[in-house]
Amino acid sequence: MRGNERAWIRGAQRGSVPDLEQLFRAHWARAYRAAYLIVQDAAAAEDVAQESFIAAVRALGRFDRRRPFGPWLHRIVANRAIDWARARTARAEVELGEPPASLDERTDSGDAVPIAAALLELSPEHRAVIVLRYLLDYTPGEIADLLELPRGTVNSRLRRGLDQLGSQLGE
Amino acid sequence: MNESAVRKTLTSVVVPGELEARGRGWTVVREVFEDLEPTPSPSSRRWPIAVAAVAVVLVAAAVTPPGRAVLGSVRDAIGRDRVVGVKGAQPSLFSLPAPGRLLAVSTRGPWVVDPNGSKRLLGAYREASWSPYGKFVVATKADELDTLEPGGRLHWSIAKPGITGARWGGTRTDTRIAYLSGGALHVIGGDGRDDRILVPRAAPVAPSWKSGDDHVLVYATPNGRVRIVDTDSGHVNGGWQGSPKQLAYSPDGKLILARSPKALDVYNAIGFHLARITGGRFVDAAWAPAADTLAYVTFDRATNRSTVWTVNREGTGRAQQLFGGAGRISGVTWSPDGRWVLASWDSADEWVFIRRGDGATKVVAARASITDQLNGHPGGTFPAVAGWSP
Repeated sequence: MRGNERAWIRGAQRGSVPDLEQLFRAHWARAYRAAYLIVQDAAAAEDVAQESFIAAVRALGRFDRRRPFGPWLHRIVANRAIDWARARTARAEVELGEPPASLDERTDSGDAVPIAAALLELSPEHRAVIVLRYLLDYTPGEIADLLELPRGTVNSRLRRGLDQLGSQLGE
Repeated sequence: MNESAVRKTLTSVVVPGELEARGRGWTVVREVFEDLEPTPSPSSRRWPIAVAAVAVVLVAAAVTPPGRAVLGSVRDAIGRDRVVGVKGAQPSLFSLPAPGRLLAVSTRGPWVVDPNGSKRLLGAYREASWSPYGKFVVATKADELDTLEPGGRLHWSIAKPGITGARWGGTRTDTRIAYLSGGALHVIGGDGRDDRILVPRAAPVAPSWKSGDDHVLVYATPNGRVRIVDTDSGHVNGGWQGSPKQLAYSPDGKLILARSPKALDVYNAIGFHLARITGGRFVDAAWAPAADTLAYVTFDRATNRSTVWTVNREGTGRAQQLFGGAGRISGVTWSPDGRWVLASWDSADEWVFIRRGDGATKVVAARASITDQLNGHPGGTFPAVAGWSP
């Protein structure tokens, strides 16, 4: 995959649409899922994922092919998703009673609904570190780098996020 | 909480519309990509040479089809504009189109950007704003307020918990800085002396100074009032009921704008209400340096479109559309000479400079990849322009 990815990036940097499409297909699903789990709104997740890809494509000329594409893209996704979720919280002061559009769309799959619903109760910043750690498998050090946070802050948000999820689920 | 349960859930929860979103996403990303020029191969790459000339694009009024074509908007499957940006945008901050220095706060801290595009990072501050005549910058961290020269040299510093909303006002020889700390509104001399609490409880909205030697300040209270106060005597000169998100005195000190999410209000110097502008969600507003015009930004969620408008100073005339683009424009700033309006186009990662030309024509100059240049990498919070000083 890594060798393929470098070739796709090189091709895309030279203007190859098929190579860009390979890159897009390799990374879209995780980017969209990560955005969705942070913003908890399907339409907003689509906006965030699309805008993140657009930002990545526009900066592709400066991208160092020796680095993996995923973390670079996920940094953009996570930060944009946090910004959107924070702005939504601010908007809630005026647009009262507007429920998150996505909750009704979830299907029941065992523990998935309770944990996903519990995730909604975390702050966007806590959701983001949980998603980066347990969906995208970044280490706390890598998360600190992606979100430009101290390592201690990441560890503490992970701990608190898990504790909060646990207490909401009665564990 | 069991980590493996969390991991299993996050990877298995049903994400609505994933496949359809992928299809739409690819359509948009592909269109953007095909609009770009490919990167030259390393052997032929040339580093850009800093130029003094400004890349300009002549556009008609932004809402007409030719204007849209120049802006390069892409429509998605449900008719909403996706973001692309201004075609022909300079790929870097080679220059500003007008004299004066920009102050922009990135995730790394505030930058002072000179007209020739050179820039200087002041330090790891969260917020910053100019002194009244641009000689200094007041910058704050979580628990510290510093005053600095634009070159970065520190003048004085004060430590207080939870500092935010620092604003510098006064004359060339006698200035004050107002700031919020721990819920209280403080005032301190521009020389760092005589720090005191002006108001024990204030709303988390940056106050605004009236220009001149009155040392009059407008601020918001946490219980839904706005007050205009003489900070030397403590006398309350006026006010009104309201919970604005932004307050700004006009440069001539005669009017005050108060922005809420759903309205822009203009008051006179003692708080008498003069006008209300409604329609859309109001994101930011700014007075022209000559105080004859207001510029403001609205966002329409249904169309995912932001618009920059101008209106006469009292807010009573017909608003004119200055610029429009897909996605979010977070701020609007006037150049010191009052000829240009800078729109901070977060979603396109661009600064767009607009100057009204003859009749309906406008000149638009854009600078791209702002987050990469100021944050040090693409993505992350879009840098906020904190002022454009002479």
